[in-house]
Amino acid sequence: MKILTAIILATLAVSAAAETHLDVRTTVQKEETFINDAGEQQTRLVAADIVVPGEKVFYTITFRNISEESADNVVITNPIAADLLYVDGSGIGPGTDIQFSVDGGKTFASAEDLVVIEDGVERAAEGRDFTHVRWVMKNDLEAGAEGTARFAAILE
Amino acid sequence: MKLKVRKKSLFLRLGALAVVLMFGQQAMAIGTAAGTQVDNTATVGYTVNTVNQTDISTSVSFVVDRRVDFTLTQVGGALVNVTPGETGAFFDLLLTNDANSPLDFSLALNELVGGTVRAVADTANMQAVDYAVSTGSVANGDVDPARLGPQFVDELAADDSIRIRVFGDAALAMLNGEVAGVQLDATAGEPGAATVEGSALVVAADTALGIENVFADAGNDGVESNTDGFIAVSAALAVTKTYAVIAGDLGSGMPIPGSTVEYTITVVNSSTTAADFVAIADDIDTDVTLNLNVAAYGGNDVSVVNGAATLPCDVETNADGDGCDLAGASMTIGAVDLGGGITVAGSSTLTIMYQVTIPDPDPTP
Repeated sequence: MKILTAIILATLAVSAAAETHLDVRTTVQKEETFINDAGEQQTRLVAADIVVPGEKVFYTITFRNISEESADNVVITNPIAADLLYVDGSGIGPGTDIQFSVDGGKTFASAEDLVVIEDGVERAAEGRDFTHVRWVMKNDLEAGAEGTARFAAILE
Repeated sequence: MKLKVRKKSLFLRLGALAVVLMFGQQAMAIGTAAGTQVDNTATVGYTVNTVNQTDISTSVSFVVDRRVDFTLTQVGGALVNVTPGETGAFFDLLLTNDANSPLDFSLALNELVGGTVRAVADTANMQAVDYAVSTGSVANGDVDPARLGPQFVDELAADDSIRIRVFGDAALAMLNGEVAGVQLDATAGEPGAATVEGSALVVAADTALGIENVFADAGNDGVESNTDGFIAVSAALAVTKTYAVIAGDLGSGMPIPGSTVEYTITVVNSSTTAADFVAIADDIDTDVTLNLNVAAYGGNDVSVVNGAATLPCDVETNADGDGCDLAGASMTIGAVDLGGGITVAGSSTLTIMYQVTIPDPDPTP
């Protein structure tokens, strides 16, 4: 009886520790054009302080494995806000498959496989049709490893 | 001799007629309302040792700022025709709010001094100009502005427009063809408090939950201007009087006793506007005698030819409806009994001719 209890307690302790496997953060930024030291025009990302309709914002999600165990089947899911239009081709995620949903997150597929029906006519889905974007890691996220996902959207 | 034009006729006013305003297709989308908070949430799901772990979510937000965009456009299709002396002539300008926020607007009016309006040189000022804002925007009835009405635009909704009417009184001394241009400036102001004129918008550093301004109007400064104007339209009359000795001068051409002198008065209207109520008052010199029932005039005392029409003229009887009266030595052609006077059409000439005889105290038997 005592040993059983000990095992149960140990299992519970492991589950509690699992909540802090990953450190996940997200930022929203804008692109800024500047002249670098060589006198050339360059762009960089800066904090999105002032944003007006028509402007493009960049969302970056970083996820770091702060535990000592490997995190597997990592999937980052990001609904696209109603006032935002996803920018075609802007999704970035090293080591991930990027997928999209056009049905409110029920199903996901790669961009080229998605179709929508508009005015009774079927056409290829575009950024403006996406309701969600998600990154599916192809490999495990080893202990101490970090991954990045990014996408851009235009504020309507 | 005096030329009297007692009253001007009414001219066509190309003012602000009913204008159909098209709002179906906006060239510029208004966009998400300023002040809207846009949230983005990323959720990470994963397994450890094939065991599903609790999802981890993280969010970040920003508040939509104000994109200040608006236009001030002419409504009329041409300068407004005014009659010298006319009051309350007007034209409208349309203020359209293309921002993603309601806006107040402060207004300022200035008469042009030189320069051009509608590609025409500004050459005059009105006797008085002032403006008033409509009490109902286009989305709220598009009410005709009344003189002395509101002096600033209050809480104009995004994607709505409102008419501002510029009124003018034309000086009586305004000459035909003179142009008075007027400029109206509109400055975007802070919305939020109804009946309070918002102070001019400024650009400021971002605050986390506040609404900052980005100027996206034509001048990128929150100020837009436009002009329109008035053009005086009146008849331009030129009057000349000449004489010729037509008989009894023994071939000399000189107005000697016993000769007949014929006077010709021409009234030329060189404008395209008819001049109404034209009347000629001429005093016959007391030393000469007015010839009556002149055969060359078809029996009329005075020849009155208006354009292509010959008018009857009997000065011996006054107030008989022909407008030809003689009171003592004063002769009036175009008197009130002719329905107010003679109308000289645009690009037309009124020719009045009469003959006098110089008395011969010692006629040759």
